[in-house]
Amino acid sequence: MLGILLIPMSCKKWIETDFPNNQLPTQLVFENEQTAESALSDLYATLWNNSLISGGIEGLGLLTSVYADDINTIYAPGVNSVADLFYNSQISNNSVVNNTWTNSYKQIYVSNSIIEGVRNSKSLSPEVKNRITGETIFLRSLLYFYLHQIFGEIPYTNTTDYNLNSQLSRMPKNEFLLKLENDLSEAVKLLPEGFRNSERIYPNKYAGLLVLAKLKMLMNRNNEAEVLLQSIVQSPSFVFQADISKVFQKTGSHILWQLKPSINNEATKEALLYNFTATPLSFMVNMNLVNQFSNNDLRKQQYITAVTNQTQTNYKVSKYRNLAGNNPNEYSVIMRLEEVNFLLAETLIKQGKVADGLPWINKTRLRAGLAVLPTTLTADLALDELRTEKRKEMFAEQGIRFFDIKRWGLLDQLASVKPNWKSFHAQWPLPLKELLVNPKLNPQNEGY
Amino acid sequence: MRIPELFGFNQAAKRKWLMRINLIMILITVFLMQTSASSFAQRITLKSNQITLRKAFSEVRKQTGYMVLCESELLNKTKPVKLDLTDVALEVALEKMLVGQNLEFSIKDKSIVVKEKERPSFIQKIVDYFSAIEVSGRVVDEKGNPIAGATVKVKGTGVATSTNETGSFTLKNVDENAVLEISYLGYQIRDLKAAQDLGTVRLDIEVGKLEEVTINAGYYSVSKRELTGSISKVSSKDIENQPVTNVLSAAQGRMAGVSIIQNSGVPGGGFDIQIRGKNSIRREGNEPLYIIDGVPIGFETPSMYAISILPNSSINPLNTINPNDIESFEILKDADATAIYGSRGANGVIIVTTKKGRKGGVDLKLNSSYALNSVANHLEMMNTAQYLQMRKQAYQNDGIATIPATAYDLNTWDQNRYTDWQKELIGNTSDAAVIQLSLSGGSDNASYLLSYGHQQQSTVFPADFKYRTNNITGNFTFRTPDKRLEVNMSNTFSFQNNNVQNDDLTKRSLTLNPNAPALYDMSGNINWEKNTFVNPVALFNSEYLNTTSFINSGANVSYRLFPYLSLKFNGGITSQNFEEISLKPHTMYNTSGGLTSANSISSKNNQTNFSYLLEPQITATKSWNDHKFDVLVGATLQRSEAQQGSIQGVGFESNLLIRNLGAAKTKLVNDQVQTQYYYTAAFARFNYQFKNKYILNLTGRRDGSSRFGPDNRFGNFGAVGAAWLFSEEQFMKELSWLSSAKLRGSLGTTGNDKIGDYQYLDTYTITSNIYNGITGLSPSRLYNPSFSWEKTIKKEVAIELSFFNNRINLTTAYYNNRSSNQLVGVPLPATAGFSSIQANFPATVQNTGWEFETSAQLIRNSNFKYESSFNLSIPRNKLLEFPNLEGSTYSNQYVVGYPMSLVKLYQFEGVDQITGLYKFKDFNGDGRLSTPNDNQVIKRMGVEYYGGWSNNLQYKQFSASFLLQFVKQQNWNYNRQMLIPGNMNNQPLEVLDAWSPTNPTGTYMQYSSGSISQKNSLHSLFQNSTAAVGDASFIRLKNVQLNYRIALPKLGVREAMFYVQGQNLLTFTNYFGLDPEFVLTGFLPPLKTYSFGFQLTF
Repeated sequence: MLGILLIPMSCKKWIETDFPNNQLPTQLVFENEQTAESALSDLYATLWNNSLISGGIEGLGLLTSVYADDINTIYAPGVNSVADLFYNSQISNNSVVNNTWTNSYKQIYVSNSIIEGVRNSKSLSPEVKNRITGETIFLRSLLYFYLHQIFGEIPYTNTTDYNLNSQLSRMPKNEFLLKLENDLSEAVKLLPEGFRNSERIYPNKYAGLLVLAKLKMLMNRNNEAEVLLQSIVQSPSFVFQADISKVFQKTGSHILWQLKPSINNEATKEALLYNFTATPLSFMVNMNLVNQFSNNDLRKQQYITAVTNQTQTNYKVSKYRNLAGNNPNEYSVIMRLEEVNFLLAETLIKQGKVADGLPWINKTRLRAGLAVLPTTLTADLALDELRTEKRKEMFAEQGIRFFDIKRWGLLDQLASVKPNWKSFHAQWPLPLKELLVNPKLNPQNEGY
Repeated sequence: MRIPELFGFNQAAKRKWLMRINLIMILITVFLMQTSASSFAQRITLKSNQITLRKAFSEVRKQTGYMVLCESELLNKTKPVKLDLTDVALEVALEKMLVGQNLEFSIKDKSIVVKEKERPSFIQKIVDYFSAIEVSGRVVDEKGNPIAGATVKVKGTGVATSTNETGSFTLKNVDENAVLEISYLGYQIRDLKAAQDLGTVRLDIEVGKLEEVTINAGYYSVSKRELTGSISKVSSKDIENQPVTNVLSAAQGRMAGVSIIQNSGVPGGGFDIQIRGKNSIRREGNEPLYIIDGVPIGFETPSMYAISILPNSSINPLNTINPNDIESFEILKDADATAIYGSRGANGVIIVTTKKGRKGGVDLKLNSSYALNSVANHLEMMNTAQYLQMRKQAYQNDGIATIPATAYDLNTWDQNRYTDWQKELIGNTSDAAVIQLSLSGGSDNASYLLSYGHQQQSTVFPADFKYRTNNITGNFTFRTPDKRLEVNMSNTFSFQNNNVQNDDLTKRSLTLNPNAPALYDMSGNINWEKNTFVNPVALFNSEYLNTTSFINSGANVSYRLFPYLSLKFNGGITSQNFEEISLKPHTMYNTSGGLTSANSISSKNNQTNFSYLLEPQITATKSWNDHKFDVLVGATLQRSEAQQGSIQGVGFESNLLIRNLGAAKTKLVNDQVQTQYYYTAAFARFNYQFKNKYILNLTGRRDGSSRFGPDNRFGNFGAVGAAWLFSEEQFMKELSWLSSAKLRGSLGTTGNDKIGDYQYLDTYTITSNIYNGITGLSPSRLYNPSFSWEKTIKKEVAIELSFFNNRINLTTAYYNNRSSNQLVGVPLPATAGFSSIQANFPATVQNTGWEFETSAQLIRNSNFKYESSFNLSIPRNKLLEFPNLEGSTYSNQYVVGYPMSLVKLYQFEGVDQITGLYKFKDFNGDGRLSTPNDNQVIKRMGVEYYGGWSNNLQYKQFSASFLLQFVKQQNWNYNRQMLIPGNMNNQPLEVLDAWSPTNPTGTYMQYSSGSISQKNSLHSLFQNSTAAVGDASFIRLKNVQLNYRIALPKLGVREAMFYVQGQNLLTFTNYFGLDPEFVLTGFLPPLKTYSFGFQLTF
């Protein structure tokens, strides 16, 4: 009898299981360059699949375009969360709002976990440590930057400690922007100047500079931004793509950074999202944007395409064209030189250097078959031209249009296109779920 | 017809009795305990010149409380008598009544049996006159079969013997005046006056005798009389032949303390089972432990693709067992019963015992039935005119003059078309067929049972989908002639095949516009109505298919080493192979998307589980004088290994190839996971009985589980249970109406380790994400190595009473379970990176409750039997304490002193008669409505009490039964899931009562198209207000059956039984919604079923 009793006591070994074959101890992950790289790869793949910078339905490219005036939807109000954004009738339990917040903070957590893992690593070389840390801080900063634009003041964390992270308050705007500036400066310092992959599928120092410049412009420090932007356009790595049909092809030297699909030949999310043959499936170009293009603007055929059925003509976004299983040459471009040119033009004009700024606007105009802008423009008129031109060039990409008009203080002009638009719509509501689990996030954004 | 009459009950009194027994038996028994013993004297006063015996006996009952039993035929032959009795003893009175009637009486307990006088022959009388005689006789059962081993005892002496194989016995030197007592377990004890040849003595089955019921407590069996714990049992007669695919459906409403809710009317899904309340906050943490023939089987199979068709993606493990193969189904509830299962017993243990072969000839049984199922309830929805009126009004209310082009229902579709979408999409009648064949038999040393069953059931959706199961079970027992070695093997093999579309259409059937276009066009193709219609039947081009093959094999060997000591070995293997396929061909999407088979997706997921169990045990039983010991010591070694992997294929040359993943253009192989769960334990039971009335039961277990960090792997659990059979005490024995009475209680701890494997590890997991050819690794979870065993302290007291020769039984139990370190995923805000962290819940939760179970054999004679039983459970859940609740992530979820199921709601204050908008109470008066300041109304959701009332009637070859299930509860109503009235979705008729200038008192806000955010917000507040919670109580006629048995010897059929059954036939409820029984809204509710079938025994 005693014997039986003793079996399990002496049998601690009996319950020792093998280590699961699909898991690796966190410590080990960062003692080896390949596995550390795998951790980072997962983050990139997630960014492609389901993130603010994804080209799909979760990405800012679509969401902010629908929210503002570039993209229209066929969905009736009250039926679907994206439609609620289109009608500017979203409330705090909107699932898109919730997913945007939740997915981004998950990605921020993963970034922090990688940064901590690399920091504690004993065997990774300093170069590898710097590169991985630099890329990860950059990605985290990018997410923070966009989240801040969408939600207003938000919590900031750079640790994986859940005790701290579950009790975060919203960080005051200025403090938050300074944190980001610090982080981005560190990323720029750590990131290499060259591309570690010739397909430009990993961000380098210049991608960091671009975001840092955008941040400085947000803080109204145009002169500092100009310096950073100048260093990008002066880099021999980047060459303006003169052929309008190749702007969204993966081989261009105008690309600062693009995301690669996980499977070869997989279509970009953008191509799948916007494609339709007869009548729109979900989304089409807002006529307000269509009407911005003059008929001789090459982009009216290249970036958008008219689709006619018996009764009506709709336009689809056609920057990306290759569909399933047949995509040899398109990746999802996250940052391209054109944006740098526009930002540079803006910093110059805002500093009164209108004549220096105009050539940077003209580059895309010329490519689109339009005439150069008259050199006699006043600063205000030049800015107007910049706005129109930038919208036509950069629509449905990375929320550029929405964040621009927000930065320019022109959001309320949307009211003429979007009947429900109210000033408080400048920010989305914080997800209700989050406020309930972490009351320290209160108060809710004004208006919601 | 010989129907014994029950005297002393006039019609009114009988009715009263029935009512009381059925409805508030508890009160009656208490009343009886207090009053009957004292108020009835056994003396009679009766004066009459001419009184029939019928009336006289009635009077006896009235005056003494004693029942008089006499066969009707006998009574008809009696003559009226003249009586003049004043306060005479009962016996004297009876003698007077029976003078010259050729009748004699005997008094036993509180019953008087009157029967024909047995006249001894003259010679016999002379022989009897001489003292010591030799007595012999033969004891048989009610069918005339000999009873071997019955005890024959001379009353008042130690002289006794037992019957031999043929039931015969002989006793020498018996005093001729002695009384013999003949007893056998499960039979009524019979007292006989000694005689030289007693001839054949027939023993009758003890009516509702406690000892008769043996309870399987898992590691040991115990008679109900000696049970110290709380175990509910459902036996085969309640389960058999019901038109259900899972035994849990048949057990609903039959047991106190056990709440069973079917997740969906789609066959093959899961159940929500709560034994004595919700112990854990995690849904999967509430699952009981399932044990089939001694072998624990894995819990729910997690499906990867079924989320939108099978709620919670859950598939119940008991789907693998054919309900007709089940002999008994026991649920272990309290600490005394569950502590021996240690860490796995916190949520209760369900013990399924399959049927075994019996000694006797060869039995061949064929059972076949056919059933029709349909959705039981429908919601009354708006018709086209009402709907379009609402829509137009909505745009008008919103101030939108030009109705947008996307409002197809108003701009494009036929304004006169009408379809009842509930009828169209979920209104089909599905059919189900069952066939089962079994062969059984046995001898003294061996018995066997083989059974094969096949079931198939279609769905109520208008598509050709089916759920099929096949079961083969075999059960073999061998004994050595000396009965020292016994070997039993039970094997179950089952194969299930579930095929449905990818999504449940129930929600869609309620919201689809009544003037939506036809589902198919003229040529029979799916109609997209020029791309304006999201056609629901396109879903039928998708497919979800799962197949499960399951093998459970258990062996049980016992060897009696010494008369008092046996060695036992229990072992078993379980192997399950689960495969599911999700097919999403491009044809399930709108054709204008330009999709081709290059966009078709096929996914396949495989899971295999293999587990083995070894349980050596030693049992010892010893008794001397008044002491009896039962000891059990054992150990458990269990190992489970699971493998899971999935593959996805995208793009096919043709959809014809979609079932072949190899043909996919792009194949994505997902994570191939292998997990191990190792478990070990030592357990013991010590049972001591003194004088057959004081019972002490100690159980304990030491558990080790691989699911915890190396420092927290072992945990100790134990319980003490005690019972006092106070009816055995001298002072209670005088209460002849009380057959037995027991007070029992238990106290102990059990645990729970259902948290998944490897949760304590700080790891990165391989993902299916690939970037630039490099496979991803991502953090598996938030790291917390220090969580440890969940322990629940369970306490219980109960009283079990039986009255009137065990014809009425009553059990009342009170329990109190407390858990202060539940293992939960503590919810975290998204900023923490994961939505929860595995940790011990930092608060104390209490589950208390009352349970009442009562059963009565109201009428029992050879031709007519009526049994009724009733159970009631009143569970209460309460958060006792929660240090620092305010600062935790639970601060808006729980309130100390309230149940865990509470919800916080806005106070709905109706519609403003002037603006037509909803009003809610602004609790903090800041002029705006926000969480958590203004949703201050606390509602207790969930069950207040529930139970069932079952009735069995038998008249000659007919038997009938019905079961009423009732639940008193609060739950979300349809307002909770309602989309804003006025947008492009249909609404229930109730919504017609919306505010308008002409109807300022409407209950719903003015209609809105959904494009005004202020109204959307108000609607959202409405969905989270007191208006969205309502009474979801119901009474349901759960099961009705009618059976007819007949022997057809000419056809070689020993017994034929024909039966008709109904399931979920009637529901009485005030609930606003499709069905009050649900866990998750929007899924197909349980179905109404009619079935008929027959069973032939050859």
